[in-house]
Amino acid sequence: MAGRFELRVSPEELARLRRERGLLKERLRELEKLEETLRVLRYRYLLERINELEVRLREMEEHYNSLVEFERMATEDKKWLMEVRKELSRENHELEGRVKLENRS
Amino acid sequence: MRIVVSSGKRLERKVSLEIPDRDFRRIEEIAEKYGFRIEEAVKILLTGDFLEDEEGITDERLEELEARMSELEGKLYGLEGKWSPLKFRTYYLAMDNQNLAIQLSAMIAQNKRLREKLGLPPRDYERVIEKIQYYLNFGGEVNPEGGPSGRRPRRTQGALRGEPSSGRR
Repeated sequence: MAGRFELRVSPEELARLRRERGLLKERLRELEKLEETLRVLRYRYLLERINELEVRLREMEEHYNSLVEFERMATEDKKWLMEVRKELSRENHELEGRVKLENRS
Repeated sequence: MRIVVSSGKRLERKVSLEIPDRDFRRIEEIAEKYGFRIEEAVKILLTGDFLEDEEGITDERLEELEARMSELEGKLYGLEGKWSPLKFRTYYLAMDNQNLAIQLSAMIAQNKRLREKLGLPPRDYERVIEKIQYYLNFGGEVNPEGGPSGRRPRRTQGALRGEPSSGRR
């Protein structure tokens, strides 16, 4: 595989690697420590992500349930308001007739 | 494999090291196993910023957590899929009710005026006015318990007379 792998780091990190140059060869052999580190990092990530998802899901469920409840209430209200409108329309029509009659007499 | 580390600046002294191909392949495997980019793994290796596993994290434990994460993501995406059309429906339902509220305001004013002319006692508009105010104040945010009253309207027959509903909220 005699290839070349390029790694880009910040100038500060590069300066640090230059300072610690004598240790780099040895570090490159510490694959077990690398695996342990990545395992810990993955574990921390998963815990954090799960926590974040649980919070988001709880909020979404609450919001969703309130929307479901609102839909139910607004549907009933719509039906009721339409009936009230019908009833008021009928009564206003009837009262207008009576006012007209009174005005004539 | 030659690893060449740079910061991208011109005329800088790069750090260059040789690593056995077998070790490099192992770094790739480890990075892939834990979901990291090879660059991240090599950087940790070079800087020596290692962490210690103090909790004895096993592959099984990680698999459990991965499964839990997938389950939660699935639930969340499922809910998001249902949430958008529901929000759309409820918004237009509230707008319908707002239009009804506007019409009813005018009709109630007319009813009051006619009753006055005829010397009739005023009707009880309290409940319908509560609902009218609720929907007139509706600003697009759904809050079933909110509104000026948060109370449920009584059912239609005799609603204006304030008769109780048939056992429903």
